[in-house]
Amino acid sequence: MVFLLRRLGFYVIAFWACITLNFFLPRLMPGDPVSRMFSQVQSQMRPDQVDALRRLFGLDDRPLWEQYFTYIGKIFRGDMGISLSRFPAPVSEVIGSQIGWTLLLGGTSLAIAVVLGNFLGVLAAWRRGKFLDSVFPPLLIFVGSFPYFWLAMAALYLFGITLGWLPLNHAFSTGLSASFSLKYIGDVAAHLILPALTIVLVSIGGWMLGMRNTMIATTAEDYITMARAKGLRPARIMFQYAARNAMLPSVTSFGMSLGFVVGGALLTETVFAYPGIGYQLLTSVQALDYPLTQGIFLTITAAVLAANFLVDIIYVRLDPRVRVS
Amino acid sequence: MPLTDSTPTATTTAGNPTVQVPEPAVPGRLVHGGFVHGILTNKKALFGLAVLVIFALLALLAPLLAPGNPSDFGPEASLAPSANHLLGTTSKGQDVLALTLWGSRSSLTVGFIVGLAATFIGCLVGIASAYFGKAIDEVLSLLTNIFLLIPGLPLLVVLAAFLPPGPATVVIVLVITGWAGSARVLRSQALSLRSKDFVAAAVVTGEKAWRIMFREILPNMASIVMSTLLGCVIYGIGAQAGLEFLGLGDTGSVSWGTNLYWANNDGALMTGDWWVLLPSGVAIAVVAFALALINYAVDEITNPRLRVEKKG
Amino acid sequence: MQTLTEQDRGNIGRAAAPVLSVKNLQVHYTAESGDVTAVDGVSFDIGAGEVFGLAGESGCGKSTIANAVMRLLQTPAKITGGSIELNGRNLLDLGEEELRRTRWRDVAMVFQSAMNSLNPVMTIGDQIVDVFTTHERMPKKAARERAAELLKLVDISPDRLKSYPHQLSGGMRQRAVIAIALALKPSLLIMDEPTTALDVVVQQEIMHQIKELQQQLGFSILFITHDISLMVELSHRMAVMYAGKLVEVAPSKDMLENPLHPYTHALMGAFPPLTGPRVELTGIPDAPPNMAHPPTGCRFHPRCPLAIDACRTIEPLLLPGAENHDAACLLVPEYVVPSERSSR
Repeated sequence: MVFLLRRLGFYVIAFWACITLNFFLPRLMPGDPVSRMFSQVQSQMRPDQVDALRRLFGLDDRPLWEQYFTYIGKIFRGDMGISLSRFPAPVSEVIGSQIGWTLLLGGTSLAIAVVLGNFLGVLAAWRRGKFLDSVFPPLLIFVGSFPYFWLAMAALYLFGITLGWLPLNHAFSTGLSASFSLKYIGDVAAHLILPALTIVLVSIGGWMLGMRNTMIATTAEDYITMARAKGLRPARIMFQYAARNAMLPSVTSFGMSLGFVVGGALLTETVFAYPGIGYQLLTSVQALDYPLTQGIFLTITAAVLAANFLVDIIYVRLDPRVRVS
Repeated sequence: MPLTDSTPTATTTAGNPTVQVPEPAVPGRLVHGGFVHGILTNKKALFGLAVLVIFALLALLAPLLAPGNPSDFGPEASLAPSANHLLGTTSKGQDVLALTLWGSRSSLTVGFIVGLAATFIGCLVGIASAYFGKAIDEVLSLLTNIFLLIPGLPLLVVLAAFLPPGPATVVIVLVITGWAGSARVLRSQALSLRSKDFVAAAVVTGEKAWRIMFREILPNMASIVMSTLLGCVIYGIGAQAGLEFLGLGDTGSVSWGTNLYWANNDGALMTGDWWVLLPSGVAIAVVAFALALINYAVDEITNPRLRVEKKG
Repeated sequence: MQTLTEQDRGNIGRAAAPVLSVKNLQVHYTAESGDVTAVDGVSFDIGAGEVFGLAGESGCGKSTIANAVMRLLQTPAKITGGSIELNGRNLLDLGEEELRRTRWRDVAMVFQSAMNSLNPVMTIGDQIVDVFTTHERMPKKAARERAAELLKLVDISPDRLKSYPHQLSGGMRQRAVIAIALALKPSLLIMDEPTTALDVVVQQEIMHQIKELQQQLGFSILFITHDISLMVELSHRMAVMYAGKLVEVAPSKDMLENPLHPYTHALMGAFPPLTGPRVELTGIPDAPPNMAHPPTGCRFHPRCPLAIDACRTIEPLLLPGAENHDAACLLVPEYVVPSERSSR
């Protein structure tokens, strides 16, 4: 319990640091990004919109600290300003309409990569030096060396353009409306395969190698020898004794790797024009829609922090030693 | 003369056959000569080093191998690889081989600068954190963990969006997002060295803090610094490419990332000009793979447990 | 502590066929610096209900023997010769699945460090239960009841079933390990330095408990330690091992009162008896030999205060030096066994 409270405190501080960064970045950066933005958008906006924007970026006359507290207050009420590129939709609404796709893509690929990668790692360590252990790690390191977006493009070119097996972009075919019909779900799944495959391909090697190495260290432990001496079945020793312990460091690194997955999803979404918030983040930067850029950044960070807290809760359930102390 | 730690290096003690698995050496406790020898006799490391040297040479010799400005538009657009243009041309008539060769200069330079800077900051923060402990450690660790948790690429995008564009921005932004991982690894390593007798001895004899940190602790974690450096360079090259691919880098320069950005922007995928996309991506992958192989070899050399046992 | 009568000592281990019979065991290690013979031609028998001690410095190969009997040796170690018969079956002939069934049912083992030999993420109860569910296909509920009984046997309260290893004290953990070892009532229990990691008081409690359980349940024990005084207290018969070979085998009392081999002599001097008057300790000079290049002749000769020239070249055999008392030393005159007692 103390452990979880400490972690929660840490995440709150981390989130506060992000808000602060968000607040000061446009205000203190050289080159005055705010005026750059204004010169870009002023002509297309009504005076009251310009005024609202001005206030958002601290171009009003109130002292900085007062603006700072107002800003924090607004964030916690979910008010992240108005999107410029999708004026007058609030930032939170724009994000809300797209975050589902990112969760779908990121969640699917993460789940596959983690489960499959760790499983392969367990097997590779258990059968040291055999086929799986000698062929897969170097192969996966090599595949993992390619940039996400490049693999995405390669997959797109190969399976989408040349072979024509899978759709090229977007999350579902144009003209189809969201419903629980088999057709719609199948369509969404077909659109999901390529982007998810790329993320899985790039990230699975890390999981496999990490799990393999901790497994190797774990199999040298005395309790594994004792389990063998007990005459337990190999599968039980491998999973309940070795892998069950070896997965603990893996769980910890899971939280850390979420940030990478988000990054990978961002790049992949860009290649496939997948309508998630990663793609939206890039579009917002290109459109100089600063409120949306910042809003998406905060949302992603909050999501990653929340997921990490969830991982901590799971970790406490998995490791009895943390539970007590 | 400070006391040195007397932990022996990892060798299978033949006099004690009951030891079934050799104790892993504390990384960094290997004799220096042993480490270099290990690298030079390790196939993975040698292969990786060879690839790196080849790429460095190609980058250095780019002006000789492909004279002229590689970005200049030419008359022969969208040509498939041929004897004239070994890797074909872009839709703007640029030679892809020239772009790739010139691109390696920016990519490798940025990658290594970012790697060195991030490792340097990581060393500073990690060792200071471990050496001073208490409040300083709390604050530095908190900072490290925050930077580790904030998703890197989105932060990269936000920073790049607000900073004035240019090569310096790319480096700064990559260092800001890349140092935390090495700081964390180096801190835990420095922490275990901090508790060793030779550090205690140095403290008692009144050596200056910076001297203990950089003359006593740092040399003893050389191999782990090395592997963090390699990791940071991989990160630098990959993240630069990602940033530039998104159009947030220095789009005026020639690098593997910008090559891919322009290729994608000009619709190379849709027109089927695969040869425009292939070289820069493969180059990134091969360099990253070479670095990863060296990293893997360093791991193997310092942690004998990971070595595959010889069949007797 | 209760001691056995002379008659007990004489009878034990000879009445019926031995529980464990190790013959001419050879174990090799493959190391970068060359092959090492860790166990070289070791033979011994353990009778039903007998406690057999195996003593020697660390690295002499005694733990290797324990692991060889369990067939737990892994590369680079390999059994290269001899036989290990448990209840008349050669363990070296068993296939993986047969071996798995035999382990724990016929022979169980208590490892050196209880902290490390228990799975940190499983409750003590689950670690006992999985023995029953695996070997006896017992339903979970029944297995849990049996587990509770086992804990009671070693004086641990059954509500500790739900505890994790880290929640128990060192002594309690080792007792839990003993309970797990006794789960299937094996005919042989191997104990490899079972109390080394514990403090002396706890060590005494555990030894006492082992002794009681042994008398109560009647299993045989292969007891391994470098602590001679502990061993003499517990075991009926003992062997002293040096550099991969047995150098002396005798009933413990005889060994204590009349050690024949100079090495045993030195070992006895290196440990204070737990009870009895203070004696001056004498260590053994120099370090144990390098097993990759063992000395020629008698392996102990470089450290032996009594060594003669012949010790350098002639390898002494393990021969009777007194009644029921074998030693491998050129200086020990061979004891001629009277014909009516010739069968051992």
